[in-house]
Amino acid sequence: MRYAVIGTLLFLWACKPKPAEPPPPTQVPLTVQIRYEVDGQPLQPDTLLYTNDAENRYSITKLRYYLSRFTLTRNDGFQWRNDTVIYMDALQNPNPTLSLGEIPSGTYVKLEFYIGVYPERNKTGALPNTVENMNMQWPDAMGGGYHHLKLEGRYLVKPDSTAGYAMHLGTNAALPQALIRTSLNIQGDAFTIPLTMNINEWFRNPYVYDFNTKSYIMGDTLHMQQIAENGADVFQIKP
Amino acid sequence: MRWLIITLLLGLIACKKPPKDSPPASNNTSSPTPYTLQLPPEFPVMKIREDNPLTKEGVALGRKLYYDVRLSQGGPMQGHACATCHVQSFSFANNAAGVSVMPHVNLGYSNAFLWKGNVQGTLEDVMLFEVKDFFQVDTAYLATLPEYPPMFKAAFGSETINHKRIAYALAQFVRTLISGNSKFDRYYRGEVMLSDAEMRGMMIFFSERGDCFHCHPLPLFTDYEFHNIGLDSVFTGENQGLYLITKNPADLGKFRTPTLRNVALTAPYMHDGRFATLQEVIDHYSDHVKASPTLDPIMSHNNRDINLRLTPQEKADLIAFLLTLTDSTFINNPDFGPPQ
Ligand code: HEC
Ligand code: HEC
Repeated sequence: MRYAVIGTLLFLWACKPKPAEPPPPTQVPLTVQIRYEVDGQPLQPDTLLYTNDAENRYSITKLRYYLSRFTLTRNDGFQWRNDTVIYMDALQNPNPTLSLGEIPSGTYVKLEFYIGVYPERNKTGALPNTVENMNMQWPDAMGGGYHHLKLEGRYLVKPDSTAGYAMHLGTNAALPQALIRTSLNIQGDAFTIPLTMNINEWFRNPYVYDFNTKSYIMGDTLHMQQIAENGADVFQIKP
Repeated sequence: MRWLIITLLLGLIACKKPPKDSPPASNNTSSPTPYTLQLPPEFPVMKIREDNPLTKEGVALGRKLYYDVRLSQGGPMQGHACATCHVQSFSFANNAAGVSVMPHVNLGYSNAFLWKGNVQGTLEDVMLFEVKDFFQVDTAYLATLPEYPPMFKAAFGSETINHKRIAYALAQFVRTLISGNSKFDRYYRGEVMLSDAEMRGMMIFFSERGDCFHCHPLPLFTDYEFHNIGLDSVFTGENQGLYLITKNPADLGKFRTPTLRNVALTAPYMHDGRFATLQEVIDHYSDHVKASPTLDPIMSHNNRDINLRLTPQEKADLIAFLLTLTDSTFINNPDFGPPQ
């Protein structure tokens, strides 16, 4: 019988990698849920439904971008960071849930991330070689890396005629960075941050953007930077 | 002591991961040999359907079917093989007038097929359409030809011949038709230099000046998506494009972007072959783009001017660059030609 006890102990030892260890700090699986709107209106492709602050009546035919380097700061100063780069296609997948791994529990007061590819990864060939990433390449001739954002559509120029617009952002000089001050009490079995992109925010604050000024901005650093700056608050936490 | 052994045994059983279940050994049929696709290093990974892995036997069967006029026996395409219209020396297209034959180049990356997007899915799906609807292949007839049943057995495990297996074999063969060794590729890999004109053309192609790269991006020179590039302003008949399939007015005049690899070999150009030369194509992008409500936003380059307004020099440079996309090893590769 003594052998049985020894045996059982051996058994337990064999099965358990580390026997007695203090309970680890609670790790909470974190997800982010994305939604879209245009000042309260739902996102619908291809229809001239929306009006921006410059009074351009416009449609959306494409909205593709990256999200990367989600960073959360806890009230005690601890910073948690996830360096994955996630490809987003709003018209293809309008309500995705992104899994960001596990985060130590606590109260987090700041959420930051890039709407685009963070600088160290924004180099031609740095993202996995997929057709989606290939189609987002920013040509080497124009600085290399990837498009952070492709937002395209059409807008009314006269009551009966439209023109196209293409808000493309690329290069580290025009990389939108979102910063949301908040108070998230992250604990429990799982935690989800609901984020909504209001597309009209790309065209306001601090710059009211008028498509008539410049409807195609790729390679135009001034206008790319304006849109990138406007991008800081396109996402809000919205249950 | 006995207790110890028993408990230890229990422990071993409890801790040991269950053995990977191995498929039942198939003794009577030797399974087909895996075929490794050779992709140029800069090419994306190709997703391959799990139910149709590439095998030497499958590719060989697909190649034989592709070149065999008997595939159309008794059907509406009687007298044709795939290779009758998809000719290797023309990058698996041809020079015939009318609806442009689409080349078979790097097609394994696409998930939307035909100019109007009639088929969405994988290569297997479009091949099933070709076999069942276009050729209406007579499988019973193929089964009477002595060489086929053993080849189907070697590729798929039994002698059964059906549309799905024919389509899968054709998909395997077409998946191997990889073109990535043009002068441009060798330049990209640092092996050769481009001429000054080719370099200038490349800069136009890959910058906002020409803005070709958005729809014809590296390294495949197509995004496999649908666009209206302003060939017409009013759309009737076949020129309605993707709209004919989706019935969505936003898709009027949109067509699947063709690859520009080997574009020098695939005249005439556009879905209806309306342009005979690359010069005419470039003239279109430069001077003749027509406005319409579905014109691709990318075409509004210089603030609403939908034309690029290239100089004659810029046009010549752009064409010089396009000519560097011809891959002579591809069109001469004996593995892609008719089987012996
Ligand atoms: C009579 C000429 C002809 C023959 C024979 C023919 N094709 Fe085609 N093929 C075409 C044309 C024309 C198109 C473009 C048609 C369209 O989009 O409406 C095409 C398009 C295709 C495409 C779509 C390519 C892409 O990029 O989306 C595939 C795949 C294809 N053919 C496979 C085959 C196969 C397999 C066979 C033999 C079973 C075959 N074709 C026989 C003329 C032909
Ligand atoms: C908005 C997307 C888009 C842009 C930008 C674009 N293309 Fe295209 N290209 C297409 C599509 C779509 C087609 C097929 C159109 C059709 O057949 O109706 C095409 C066809 C072509 C063809 C004919 C190929 C064939 O086999 O028939 C050539 C050549 C070509 N493009 C070159 C260029 C060049 C050079 C540029 C830059 C000056 C350019 N394209 C810009 C989408 C685009």
